[in-house]
Amino acid sequence: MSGFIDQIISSTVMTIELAIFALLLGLVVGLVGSLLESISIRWLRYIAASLIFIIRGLPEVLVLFFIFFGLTAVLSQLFNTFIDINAFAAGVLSLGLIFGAYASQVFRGAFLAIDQGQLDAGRAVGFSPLQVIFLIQLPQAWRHALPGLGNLWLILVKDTAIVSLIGLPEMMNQAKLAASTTNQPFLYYLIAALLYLIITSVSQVVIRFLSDRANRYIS
Amino acid sequence: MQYSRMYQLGVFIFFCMSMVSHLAFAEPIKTIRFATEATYPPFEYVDATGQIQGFDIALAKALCAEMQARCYFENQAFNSLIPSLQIGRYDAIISALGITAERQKQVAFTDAYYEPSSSFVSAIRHHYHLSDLIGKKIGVQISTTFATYLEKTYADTIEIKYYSSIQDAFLDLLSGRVDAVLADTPIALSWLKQNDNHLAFAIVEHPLINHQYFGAGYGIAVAQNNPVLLKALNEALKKIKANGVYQKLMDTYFSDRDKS
Amino acid sequence: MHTYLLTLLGGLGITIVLTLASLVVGLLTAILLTIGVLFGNRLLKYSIHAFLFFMRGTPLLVQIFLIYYGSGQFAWLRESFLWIGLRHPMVCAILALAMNSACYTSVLLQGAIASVPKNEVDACAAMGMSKWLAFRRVIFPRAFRIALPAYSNEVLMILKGTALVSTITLLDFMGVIQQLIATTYLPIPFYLLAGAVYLILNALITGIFKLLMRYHTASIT
Repeated sequence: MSGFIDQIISSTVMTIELAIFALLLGLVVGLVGSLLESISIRWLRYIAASLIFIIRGLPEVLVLFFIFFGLTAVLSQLFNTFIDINAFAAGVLSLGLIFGAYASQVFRGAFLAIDQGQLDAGRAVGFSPLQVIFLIQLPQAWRHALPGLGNLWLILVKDTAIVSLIGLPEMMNQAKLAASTTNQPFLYYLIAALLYLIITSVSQVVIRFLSDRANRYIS
Repeated sequence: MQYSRMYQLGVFIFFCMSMVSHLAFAEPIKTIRFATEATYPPFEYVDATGQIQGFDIALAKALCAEMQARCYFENQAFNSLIPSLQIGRYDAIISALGITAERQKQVAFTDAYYEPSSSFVSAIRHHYHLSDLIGKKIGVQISTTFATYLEKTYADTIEIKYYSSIQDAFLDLLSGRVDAVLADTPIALSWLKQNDNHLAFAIVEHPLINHQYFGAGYGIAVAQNNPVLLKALNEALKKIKANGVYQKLMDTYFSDRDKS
Repeated sequence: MHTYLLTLLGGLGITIVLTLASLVVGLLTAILLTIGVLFGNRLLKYSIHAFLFFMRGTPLLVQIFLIYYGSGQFAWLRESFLWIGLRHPMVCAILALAMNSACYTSVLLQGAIASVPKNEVDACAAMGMSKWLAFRRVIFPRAFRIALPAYSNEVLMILKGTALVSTITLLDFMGVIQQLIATTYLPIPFYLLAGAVYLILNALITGIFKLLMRYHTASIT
């Protein structure tokens, strides 16, 4: 039995890796998405808004299956050479896209919360638009975005369980293996559940710490 | 004199051409990427150390040793095996895949390396016969030949329950949600062996052989545009059947096959 | 081709039934949980908080597996009256979805109740209403209106959650799509169809809530 528990615990590494990569991709997608949604070029704005609307409206399994089974076929035919999307990459891509679609809304709200005067001051002292974004907006938006992003991270961690359905050997599949071999599904799925609980709880502590730090100058 | 020189030249050119054609057409296969769904002991499964093992894996390794190629194995969901092969993600599938006309439209198969039979497993206390299965709930793995067999043979006379993994079907057999499970005979035997399951469950009557649904046997699937690999695998298969390696594998993995 | 249509419609029916049933059971349970947290004794409060903590910290898929496959593990459970329901995948699916939704909704309601304008709460006390009467007649209805936008989001999450039930043999719309792809080897058209259907359902639910919110806020000056 301890062999199975060891294997489930070591598969949490795979789960956390998946979540972190998806987070990184999701943050980039979210930032780009929020920028595109407020850009002045109309058709770009519409495309971005539509994509975000579609991704947010679909079940996560559908996005995952579409990327894993469907997109590989489409891309391979398009470029006439096979493009490999393995289970891990498909998981990162789909979870990252979903995170990004929701995160773009969080970032939009966070950017809107920054006083316009800050941006004007930046342009007044000669910052380029990019400098305004990175030196003025992002550091201040971070404080407003953190609660929303933190919530999305918790959802992301829990969504990694779905990637088990395309065969990735993460926590759920290890638990399934142990459950089937020992005829004890409740025990092993409970262990998996408790491990997820540990991950989300630790995450919440970290998020609260980051939130306190980000708000340290605010009375 | 001139004739013999021309003759020598001709022999030399013929020799060069045959060497070239030998090199061009008999290029050795260096690596083969196999896909499998490793949830099907004793054909393929993941052992306690996380390695993919099983009869299919051992057979593939024996073939690769014969072909002097390196083989790699990757675990994939069953549904995704053929689509992945078709777009080139893998070179071959070895996953207890039955050779059927349907599948032969999608992929090319080697000669059969195993002739399958399937068995219904149910609780001993029910004393089911095959005819008693009408009106019962039968569990089966989705998109397998066994699912098709149930759909076509029994149609609406039974209630079919689809599972993404045969192991989930067995869990529901244990809890009574299904009255019987239709599975590959070795899988059924393997499940009966573990956890003393055979004390309460057994195969209904006898294993079923049906070439129409269960196929003419299991084959290794290869993309239809890869005749070189197909030929190499078939030749290796013939060799290991002839030199006793195949029989040894059969004895190791299916030692109690004749006990039902 | 038209057998495909029938099967797809059957799957769609299961998805809709699951969503509605989980919604109703989930909302009722959420209200009970919220009342328990606000008015219960310490033991009840701690138990409910522990339950909320567990359900919100673990994936829905694990909860579904725990309820369906997990319940089959115990002989005493299989021989009890509970098995009459739990042996059916539909019951397990509704149970899992409803409990999951109830926990998120309860937290939502607790937040909404806390943000009811204080002057309304004070007015109730000034008029001599008991805490329970105030809650029943003023605070809860007000909180529900505040929670409505966020709750619409929660209903959409239930809809997305139904896509997982094919793992416990329930052929909902997503399950039927997977089955059809397995027999036809045509992933793209079927996934696009699935996407379109879920987006339409999404739009329907969002539209219904927009109507609800307009109807409700119209009565508030």
